[in-house]
Amino acid sequence: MKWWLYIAYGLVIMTGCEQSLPFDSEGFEPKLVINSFNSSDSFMQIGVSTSTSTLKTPTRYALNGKCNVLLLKNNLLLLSESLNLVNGKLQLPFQASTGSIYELQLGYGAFPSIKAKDSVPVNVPELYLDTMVSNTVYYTLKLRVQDNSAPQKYQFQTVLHGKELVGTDSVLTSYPLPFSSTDKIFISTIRTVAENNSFALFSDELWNGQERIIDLRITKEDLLRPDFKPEYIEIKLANLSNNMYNYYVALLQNNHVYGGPLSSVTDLNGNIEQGLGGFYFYTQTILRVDL
Amino acid sequence: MRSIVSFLFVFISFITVAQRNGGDYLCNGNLRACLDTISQVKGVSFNYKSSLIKRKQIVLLEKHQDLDSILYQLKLQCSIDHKIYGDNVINLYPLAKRYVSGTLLDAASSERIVGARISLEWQSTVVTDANGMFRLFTFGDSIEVTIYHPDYQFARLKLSTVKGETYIIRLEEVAQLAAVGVTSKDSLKLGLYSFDKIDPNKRVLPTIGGETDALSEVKFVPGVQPVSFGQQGLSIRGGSPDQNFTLLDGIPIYNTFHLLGLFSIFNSESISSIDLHKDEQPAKFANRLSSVIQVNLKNGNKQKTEAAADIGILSSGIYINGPIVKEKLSFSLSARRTYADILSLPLQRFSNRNSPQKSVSKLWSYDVFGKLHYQINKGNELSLTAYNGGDQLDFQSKFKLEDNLNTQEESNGSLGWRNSVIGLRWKSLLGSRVYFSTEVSTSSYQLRFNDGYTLSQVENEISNSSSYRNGLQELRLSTDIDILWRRSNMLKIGLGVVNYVFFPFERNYSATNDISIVDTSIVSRQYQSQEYYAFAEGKSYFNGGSITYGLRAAQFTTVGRTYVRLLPKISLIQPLNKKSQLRLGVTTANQFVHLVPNNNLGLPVDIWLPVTNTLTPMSVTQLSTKFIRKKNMLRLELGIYSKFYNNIIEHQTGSQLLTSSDWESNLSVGSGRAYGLESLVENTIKKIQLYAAYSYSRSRRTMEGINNGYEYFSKYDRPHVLSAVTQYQLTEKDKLVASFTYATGNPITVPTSRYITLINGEEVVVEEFSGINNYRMPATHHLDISYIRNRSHTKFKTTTVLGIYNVYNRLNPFMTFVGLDEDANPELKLRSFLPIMPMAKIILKL
Repeated sequence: MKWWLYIAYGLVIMTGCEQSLPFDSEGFEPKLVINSFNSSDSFMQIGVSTSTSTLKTPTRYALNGKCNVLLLKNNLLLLSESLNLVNGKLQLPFQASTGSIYELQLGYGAFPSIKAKDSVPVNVPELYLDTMVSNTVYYTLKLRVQDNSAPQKYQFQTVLHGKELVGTDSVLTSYPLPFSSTDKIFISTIRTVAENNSFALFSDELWNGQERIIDLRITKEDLLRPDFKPEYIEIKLANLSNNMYNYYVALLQNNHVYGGPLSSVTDLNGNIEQGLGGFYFYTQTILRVDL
Repeated sequence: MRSIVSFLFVFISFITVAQRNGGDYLCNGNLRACLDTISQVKGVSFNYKSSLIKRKQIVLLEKHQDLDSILYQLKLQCSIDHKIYGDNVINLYPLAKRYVSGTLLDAASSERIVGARISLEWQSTVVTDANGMFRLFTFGDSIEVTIYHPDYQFARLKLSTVKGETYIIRLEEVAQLAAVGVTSKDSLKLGLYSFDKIDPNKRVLPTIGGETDALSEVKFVPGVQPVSFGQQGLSIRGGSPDQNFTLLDGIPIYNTFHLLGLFSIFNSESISSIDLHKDEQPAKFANRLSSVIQVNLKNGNKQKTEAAADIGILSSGIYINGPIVKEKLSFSLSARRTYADILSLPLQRFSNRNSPQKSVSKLWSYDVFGKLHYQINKGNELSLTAYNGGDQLDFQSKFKLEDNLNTQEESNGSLGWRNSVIGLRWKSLLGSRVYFSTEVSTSSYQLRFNDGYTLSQVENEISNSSSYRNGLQELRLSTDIDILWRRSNMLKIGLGVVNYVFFPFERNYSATNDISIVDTSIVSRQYQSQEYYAFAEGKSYFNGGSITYGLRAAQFTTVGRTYVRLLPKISLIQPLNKKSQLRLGVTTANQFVHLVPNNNLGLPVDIWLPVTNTLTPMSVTQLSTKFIRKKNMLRLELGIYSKFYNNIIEHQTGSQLLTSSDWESNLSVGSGRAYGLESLVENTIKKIQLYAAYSYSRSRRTMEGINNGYEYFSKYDRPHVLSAVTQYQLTEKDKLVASFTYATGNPITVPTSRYITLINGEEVVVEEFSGINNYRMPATHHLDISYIRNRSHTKFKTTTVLGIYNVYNRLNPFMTFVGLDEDANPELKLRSFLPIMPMAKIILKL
């Protein structure tokens, strides 16, 4: 009897109900969305899509056809062509050079042409694996990062690679791999332990050009997937451009709540003029850890 | 500007005709000419010094036919006494001015009686102030006064006017108004104070869980609305919660609500009265844009010790007060705590029972009020007031691993805010005309987040912790003097100084492991500011009305800049007839400190900040007018107001965590306006008391960088607000209370479009917000019914409150988000909380 009383009490206090609200999307005008996040060690890719009204489901792959592309590097023309957009994707035959400034102009259909500019970080981050400790529950990776004296914006990311059985074939597949860390440099959360994220952002305000050991912990249970054999983990340390770092930070604060005490109207100010999304650059170092 | 000039023209016209009554005159104007006329008409001669009648005016109506009546009017209007020699020689000489002062006390407890009406037969009524004190001008060796207060026996007393005499008058409480035959017309007269006076013990309005919240009745005053559920504070006339200056015995309190606004920190038991100033603010406190809310604690019974305890669904509390030295020194102490955390612990332990990881969360709040009051002698008193309270959320997680390293892990955290105030006040009556008060106080508000982690293994131990803190602290010293000068004039002058320390963002981190120890402060920034002010405020009474005028001069010194502001005000209470009154007012106020919302931690964390060398002080000019009519027990009020804001500050959308020194760049400055109509009707018919208030109001903003610079609705714009309370006295001791509140939904910002972006190759749906406050939430309304039962037992009394909150289970809005419907299509969804809930509380009094 006593337990029922407590449960009833809890339900009474905590009961929340949901209902749908009418919403009018009249007057909505779609904009071009650019998703272009390029590292210095790969060819530039540009994703082009459009925004939708609030109660529609957006997609990345709907656009096809010709689009006019202009690319400048340090104010010098690199490319000015009409390219074929296939399922919302474009690939450019260029790799970003560290320290350079790139400007993109793109026009598609009746949409206003967009313009975006960003610079490629000068430095490639230095990352080394010191030790890896394994116990029954998790792997602890001690990573050594050598900071640069100039202000840097970093991101850690972990990716699991392995062979997955697809039909009768064994296919090389990768998945984001969540990790946790007690290192307080991560701003993904203000909690002591950054948990259940496959990436974490941080800046080097406390480092000032010194070397630092960071612990990342990976739960072994997260490596297990049906029909999947894990082979190695990639640990990526990226040096993001300032614009890209700010964009990602704003993305993390977007909680999709609009009214009430927890609402957060995050105006995601990408660097696309007359459009949405981002055109950004980063450098990275990738460590491979075999399992 | 044009509207202000028009308003002032009407205002001044009213003032100039304020004292004119209709009717034929015997003489009207210059006193010398009048005396000549009277001499001719009555066949008498007057002897006087010319300086006595110089520049004096008199109005004698036709009805003042007989000589006695004329001589009486000379005393009344010109302060001239007389002596008759023989049949027709009258010597005139200055009337000896005398002032009478005193304090009204409850006969049983010696508590001050606030708001009692004291009338002389020929003078407009005065009202006892927050200290239960009154002062009157009179003449003659003795006067007869009538004293009326609805909760006390009517009294008629003869007072001797010995110079400097201060009276202590004790009144017996009456159980019910119906038991007293109200014969005096004073009970039906309209008040002369320009604020709303609330006695939280007079009308019990139970709220969520049966809590007797002292600010419940404030929420029913027209123009006052709670902010949208889940946020803390009151919105008054379209202003934000930080625009209300809440004072506890004159000491500012910076956070006045618990648990996301569910109930306030003030428990009715310990509160004597609440004064809400929204039409005009006292010049001493005019440094908030919307209102001043003065909450006065009880001094404590100086005759005998009293105790009360209450037990409810959400919280329990105790209240003790009594004499330390009878008739001299008394104390008052109250404490309250919620206990949802204690009740939910067994549920949490039950859910943890089979898991190697044990997690526990606790949410609770508490308040402790204390006061010492020392009546040194008839004219001097000293009081010490203190308060400490807050909300606390604690969480803890323990994990033990059965491995060869004997791994144990513990993480814990806490998030909480605290208010602390302490203040000392000395009041002294210097003679019967001058009242002197000095106060020193300190008030602090702090929000703190702590987080810690420990990992223990064989030959390995690491720990780290971080803390985040924001808040402010102030130290205040002030002194003021009340002077009763001339016949019906009061003047209050004073000055004060406040030292503020703001710490908007402080973050520390420490870590210990086998290799190193780190202890660092990531960000720590403090601002110090000083405010100096002086003020003068006068009030003149005339024929059932009054005019109040004041000026506040304030200097605020902040980082790199000093601001000086002059804030005038003027207001008029003009009787139209015995039952009706018209009130007009033009007031100004400014604000040097403001509250900036910061939702970037996923919790409503608000930060108090000062103005700076780039963010100038916010200011407001308010015009208001109100018509009041009272006939028997029926009271009607109808008023309109208009407010014009300048340099108002709002947080920009999408601003990030305040980690950098340029937090000002996250704020936008602009202007705003608010206007509205307020109405109230109140009546008592036999056993039924009715109260209903309706207001129509709008509140708009125009800010740089928000909504592309176009005007938009403030989030406090709620056009229709209706509050109604009905109280039915079932028997002498039992009553039914029903209350209904309705408020238009507040505007929120919803996205106008969505798109997909990538973060590390993973798709994320994000929103584009092209407008601000572009969607209106559904209205909030609920009906609460409660039954209140009072019983007297041998040694104690009980009050039982039983009721239902939200009787018809209205799903009032809490938050919105984009979810999926049954066909997996996106739709805008609303989540609600606080459905139909029981209210229960029992109060025991010894």
